[in-house]
Amino acid sequence: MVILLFLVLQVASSAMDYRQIGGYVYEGEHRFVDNVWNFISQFDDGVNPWEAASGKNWSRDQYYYCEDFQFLSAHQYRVDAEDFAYYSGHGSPYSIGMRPGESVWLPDAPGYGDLPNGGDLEFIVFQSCAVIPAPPDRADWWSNWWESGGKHIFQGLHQACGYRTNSWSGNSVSTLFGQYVKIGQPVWQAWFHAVQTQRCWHGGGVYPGYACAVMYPPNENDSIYYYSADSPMDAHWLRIYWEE
Amino acid sequence: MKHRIFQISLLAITALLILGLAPRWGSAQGGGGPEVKWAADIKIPSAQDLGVQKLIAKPLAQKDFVALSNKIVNRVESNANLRKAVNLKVTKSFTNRLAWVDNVDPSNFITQDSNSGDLLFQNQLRRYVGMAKVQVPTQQEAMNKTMKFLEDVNLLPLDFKTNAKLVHAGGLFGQDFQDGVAGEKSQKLVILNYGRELNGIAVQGPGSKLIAQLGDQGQIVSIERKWNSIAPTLGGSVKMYIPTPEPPAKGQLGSAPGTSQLPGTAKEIERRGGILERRTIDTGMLKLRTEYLTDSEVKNQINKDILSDWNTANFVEVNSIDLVYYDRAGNFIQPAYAVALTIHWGEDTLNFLYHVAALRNPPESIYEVVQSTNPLIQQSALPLTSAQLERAGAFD
Repeated sequence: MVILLFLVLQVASSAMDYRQIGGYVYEGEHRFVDNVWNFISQFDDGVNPWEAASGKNWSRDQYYYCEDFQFLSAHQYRVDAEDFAYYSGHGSPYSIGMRPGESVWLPDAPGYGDLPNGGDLEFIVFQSCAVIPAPPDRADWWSNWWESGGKHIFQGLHQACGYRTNSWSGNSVSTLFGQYVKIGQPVWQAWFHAVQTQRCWHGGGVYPGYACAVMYPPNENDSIYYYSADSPMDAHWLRIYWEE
Repeated sequence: MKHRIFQISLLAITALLILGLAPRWGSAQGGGGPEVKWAADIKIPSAQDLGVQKLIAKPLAQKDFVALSNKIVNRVESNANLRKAVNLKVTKSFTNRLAWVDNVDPSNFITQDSNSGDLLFQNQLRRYVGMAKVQVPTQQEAMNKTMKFLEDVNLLPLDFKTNAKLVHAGGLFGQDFQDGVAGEKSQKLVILNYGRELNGIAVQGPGSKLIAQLGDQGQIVSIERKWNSIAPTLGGSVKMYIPTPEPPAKGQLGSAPGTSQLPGTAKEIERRGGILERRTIDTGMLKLRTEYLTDSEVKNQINKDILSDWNTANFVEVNSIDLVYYDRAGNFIQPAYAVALTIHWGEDTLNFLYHVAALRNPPESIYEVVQSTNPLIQQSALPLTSAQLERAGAFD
């Protein structure tokens, strides 16, 4: 039985569609290094049964300290060359830090996932504070995911996950998220579960904060093994889920 | 030649002096690290009445996991896919996790961490994606349904009725934005967050949690159980954590009474024999008066943590230090300090909470230990700079 399973996995691996995971770390505090590593280290070159069944083999690929060009001018060689990007660092609404004093304003980023322009990204996760505001935080939550000066990141990108409030590092969110994603949970739902299980309420504060995810609606059931077609580059439809 | 030796010596002495006098980055003495501002009225509460409680992780064997899965599936409402999927084989591989996932709809699944026993069950979440209206239950209805479900499938933790507290009742919400128009906000689920409280003190950390999500008319959509049993039960005979001095090495003096190190794991305690004892005490907790950090040690630890973790900040305020229990979803509940900070970078601020173990030698570390050597640190070629990318032709 074991030999049979081994053979099946071997045959399956020869016909695999390889998918890449990239990790991007704010250069400052070591907890961000751990956060990203705890996620990407869940994925190696081996083939698990879900990968064998789906034909998609996920493994970690890039692992860099942040530079703005990774998200902007050279995105097609960095985050957008991957299928799944995981960032951890300091954030604020629509903005992610690279290192002290340097950040990327995401509305300045080109479209992610736009295959005609060399983009490939399907999923991006921001383990950082407040990058994805929700209606309780900002009524026009869509404004900066939408066409801003002709740019918006959802041009093939399926889902963006993060926090709508402060986050909290140095815990197991990224480990658990990696494990849940790996057993085939839809990506944003795995993120919400991972964040929920680490949360505590103390002195009127919520640690870590509340999860949030923006997506192109036809992609909302996507797991890393089974996902629907990319959003069209001129899609005018976004959906947000949030906790409160 | 002598002149040259003198010159080199002078250079070396000067360098040593500069190095010795230069403020060190992250120095608690106010060098290059952030200034730490302590709230004037801050007090460090005594942890002397709090002890360590051993937890029992009860991961299920594969056949028991299948039985539990069947039981859950037979209990949940009208989920043909989930029922059908019972016949799928359970997979135990890679992440030390038993997982049972519906191939047709992966939002139907049951999974358990094979080490900790943590369990997550989810049913028909796919039904709630999209913006269709949902008749969510009231908080009380949701609580009643959750309790009944936990009892029906034997997932109610042993001390849940005595020690669980509803910490937060919230929800999952959604909204669309299409062709320039925002749709209505829609509540999809009610989310109940239960936490553990021992003798009126909150247990924080990733363990001691039970989270229930309920949907249309109170349908159980998910149960996440990270709640290991206290050994064996509260209020009865409890296993106590008794420190005993390490036997002195040959030719060395033994350590003074009360200064012994706590052994690292329950297994070690048992291996060494006679250390894990069974006694009855009122609180269910062990008191180890000599093993707690002093006030100055707590402050020193917080200063050290701030300088290590927030070294890019301009200044850090320590707002409060509260006594809590901590469960890292491991083998123990232990006393800890919840430290609330506000970190300042220019005009940016961040409120942050973290925990410091109250015991000098805690039975397990508070935070998850990264198990692998981090390759980022080892790969000197990383990160690529813009110039390197240009040389590599990345901008062609």
